[in-house]
Amino acid sequence: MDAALKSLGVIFDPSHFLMLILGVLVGLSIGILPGLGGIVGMSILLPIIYGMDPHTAFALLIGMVAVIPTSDTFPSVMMGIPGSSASQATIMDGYPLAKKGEAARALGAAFTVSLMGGLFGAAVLSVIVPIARPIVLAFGSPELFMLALLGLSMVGVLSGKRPIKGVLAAGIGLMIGALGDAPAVPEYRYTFGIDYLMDGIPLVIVGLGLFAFPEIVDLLIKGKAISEVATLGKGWLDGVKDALRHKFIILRCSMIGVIVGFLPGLGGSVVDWIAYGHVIQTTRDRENFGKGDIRGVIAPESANNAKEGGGLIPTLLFGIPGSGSMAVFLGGLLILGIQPGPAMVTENVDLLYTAIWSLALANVFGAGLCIFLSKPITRLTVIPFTYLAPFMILIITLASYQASRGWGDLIALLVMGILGWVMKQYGWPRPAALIGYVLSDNIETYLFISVQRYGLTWITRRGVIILALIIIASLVMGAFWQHKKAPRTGEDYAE
Amino acid sequence: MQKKWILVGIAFFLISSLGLVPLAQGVDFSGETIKWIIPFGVGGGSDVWARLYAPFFQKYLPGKPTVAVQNMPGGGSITGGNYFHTRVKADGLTAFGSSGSTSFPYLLGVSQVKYDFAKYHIVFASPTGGVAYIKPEFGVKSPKDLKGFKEKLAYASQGATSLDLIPLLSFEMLGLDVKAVFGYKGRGPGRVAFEQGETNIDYQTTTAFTKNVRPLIDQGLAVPLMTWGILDDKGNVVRDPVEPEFPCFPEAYEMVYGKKPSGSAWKAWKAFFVAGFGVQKAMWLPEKTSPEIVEAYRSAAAEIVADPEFQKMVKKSLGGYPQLVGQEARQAFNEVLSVPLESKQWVLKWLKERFDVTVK
Amino acid sequence: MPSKVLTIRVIFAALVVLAFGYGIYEAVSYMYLAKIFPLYVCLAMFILSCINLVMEVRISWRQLDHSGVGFVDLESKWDMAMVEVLKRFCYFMGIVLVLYASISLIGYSLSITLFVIVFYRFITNTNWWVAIGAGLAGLGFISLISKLLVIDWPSGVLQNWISLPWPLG
Repeated sequence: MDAALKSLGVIFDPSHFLMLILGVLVGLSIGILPGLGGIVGMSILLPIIYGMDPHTAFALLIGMVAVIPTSDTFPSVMMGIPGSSASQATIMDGYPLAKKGEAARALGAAFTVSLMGGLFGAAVLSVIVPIARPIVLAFGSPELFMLALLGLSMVGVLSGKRPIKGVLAAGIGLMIGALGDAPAVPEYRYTFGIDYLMDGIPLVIVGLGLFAFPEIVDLLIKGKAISEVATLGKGWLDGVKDALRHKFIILRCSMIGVIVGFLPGLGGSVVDWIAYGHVIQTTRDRENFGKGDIRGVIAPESANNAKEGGGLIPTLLFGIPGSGSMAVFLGGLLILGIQPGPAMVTENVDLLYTAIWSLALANVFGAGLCIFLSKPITRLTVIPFTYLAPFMILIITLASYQASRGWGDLIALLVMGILGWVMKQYGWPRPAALIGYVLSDNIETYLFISVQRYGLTWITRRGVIILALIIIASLVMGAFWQHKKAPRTGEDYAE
Repeated sequence: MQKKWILVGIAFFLISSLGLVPLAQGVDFSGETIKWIIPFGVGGGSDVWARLYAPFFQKYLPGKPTVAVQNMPGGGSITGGNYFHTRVKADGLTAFGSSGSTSFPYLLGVSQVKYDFAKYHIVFASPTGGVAYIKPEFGVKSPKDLKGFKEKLAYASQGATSLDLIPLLSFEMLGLDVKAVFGYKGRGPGRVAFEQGETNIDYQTTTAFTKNVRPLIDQGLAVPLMTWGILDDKGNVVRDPVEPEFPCFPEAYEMVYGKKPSGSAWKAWKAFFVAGFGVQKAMWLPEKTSPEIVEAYRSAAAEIVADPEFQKMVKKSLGGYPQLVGQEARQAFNEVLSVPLESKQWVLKWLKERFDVTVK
Repeated sequence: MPSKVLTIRVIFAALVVLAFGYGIYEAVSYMYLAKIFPLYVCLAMFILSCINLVMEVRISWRQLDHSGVGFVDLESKWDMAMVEVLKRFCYFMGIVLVLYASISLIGYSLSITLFVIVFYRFITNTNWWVAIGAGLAGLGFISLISKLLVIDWPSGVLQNWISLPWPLG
């Protein structure tokens, strides 16, 4: 307890505070630009932290990582382009809201909720540290496989009235994910002898190709502005009110965020989809999802901020990164001479609390700054898109190229982009493909390990059975409400 | 109105032109930026290694140039290696950092490999050590108890052709029945699998061992077995200086069989051990680099190694192993370059028969 | 009649079938550990995609309504004929291809800068000053990122002949 208070004092020390703000500013700039994410931010900051005192460096790095899921809402809402890998689901309802001229409302709700989710994540982190080890250790490969399967089952909810296309899209995603080096053996799959493909197609390119590229092209084809309505409608205060009205959703989704972030290897990239799918499954009135239901913004945004707090647990306590940016953060720790692991709780507990406080404060500043910036930035949705288009193309080519710094990146972007555009026009759900892609590696690897190690006996493990029941329950719930709605055409808003 | 735009554009442009550099002349790198290509992602082991070294090179290279790490991940480090081989100019402004994952495909003859260490100039090399440990329930207290050990063990592996080749081969040579469970993403997850009971034999690099496994040993949850060892200046594998209480692999072998290791398996083990641990990471300059430049780098490396601040850093973050510079690095790496063909073929055959893995 | 069925929609569905079929074919030749996952996924997907193809053909044949298949409003609703959409798509794709070609010829930095300038002048229809300003802003941005992340943008044929000053080199 006094360690906690001591680090709070340390945080408010001017130099640390300054570093925190600097980290927040870097994180905000990175999040706003689509395609760049935590990994890029870390890459920028890593050279700077060499030789820094660990508390200061922590303030800087965590300040940055904490606010990316906040600021990446800007491109997601305003353009339907995933700002970073954690903010994809936000485009489903955030972008339609922007098209209706309600961008400010979506952003207001998103930032409020990001703040609350982030604080929740920090709070959980502080409380759970003593009992974290046994919880993480309870999730072996079979359990992690079931969790990945749970993520995959969200595809059902996201496929609407033609589930077969959803499953196929997920299959396409799974295969794109399988492309490249196989998880355990030196076999390079589906590479056609092209060196670039040996490593598979990076997430950034799949995300930008499937979502950003088609959106840019379509906006150019339409020839207007992003907002189909000339004036900006409801303001951000309405968004805040919306957020406060849905407290339970925020709580539930923050919990989902922390849990998913907490478990190593799931990759934070699906947390927003799980939250989004969950909120749909648990509502009867789902007519508006995909058309601008504010809950579709609240759910993923609270989850993805909370997951950062969750993600710090395996990273700091086990040295296993909870996500891609955590992997780079780990590298930062090593540069600072800190070995993450059980020692963190005993020797470096003050650092742990610095991390928690940095996380909390960064979320506060981040959300505040974003709300402040949202007014001018939302103006961009009413100017004709042709002003923005070339810069958008610049940014997505740049973001793709920095993935593996080769021509292959640019070409892969083009190919994924065309695929994404065709999928968009002809009703193949791209979120399903993205989920398939992101989970492909985990599903294959964990299934693999489970079968190799346990034969088939892993199916009878307690954790596996519990998770299987959860998956079945969620699928049933999702189908149940869907079925109830199907006969009626949507005029019926019973609840 | 238009003028404002122009000013904004020019301002942007000027802000970023703070990096215009003159062309290089002679062995003086003042004002230059040296790019150190690391064929791995940001934050990985090799990336951290390079970033820890970079500031020291900045200090000791003539002219105090900026040394920037340029990540080029892809193809398991093969892409970066190929790029270094085919595209980099030999003007002393670009160097390459390799790791075991880069040397292994080279040794195994993976077809995508275009790079050739025999042609480059080594500047320095960093060894790493590894410590193997086992679950306590088997009652094994030292390698001696492994004689006639019949229990089935499981080891969490990244892949048979990764650095895991060495522990797998070591266990095999000691006569242990170890099931290799493939698919783990590194030694970190491997350690967690050990703690969870998914596996019961494991190894960690010395730095990770000290921080993360020693507490387990203190709690009675793990029993240390042996280290792989380290190369001495005569080319023998001897006890690891960072963990001297544990026997090294050849000693463990002797404890089990009563004689020193020899034969094709041992020769193969030694070659891959050097590539994977003995000279795990190394800095290289391209083939056509002038001797003066190579010498400049090597003397800088020698000065770095003598720097007390550097020594502190090595102890804290790189395991505390003596770094090899210039000629000694070259000699050590020759173990890798002069692997007899029969050893390579022995390994390839072993991989195929034991794991059904074919190297293409 | 063929054009009723041979729409892009149906062709794409057929391509998906072919893709999974190829996936099965390739997977068979891999090492055991590497083949399980792709083989079974492709097998299942192949069957599903055949079913889907049949469904798509049926709908096209009977000229039924395709709408409502996507769950979300992200799927497009056009207020112009599909033919027009496709024409414009090809137009913009052409622009992108020209951009890519120029990157390979004169390098990324130069291409993107010129691209922004030309786009602003001729498609956004601003005057030359604004266009050039925008281009320089773009160039400044990518130079900044190049410095921060230590990245070299792709260089083109031109850079092999003459050595341009940073950042155009």
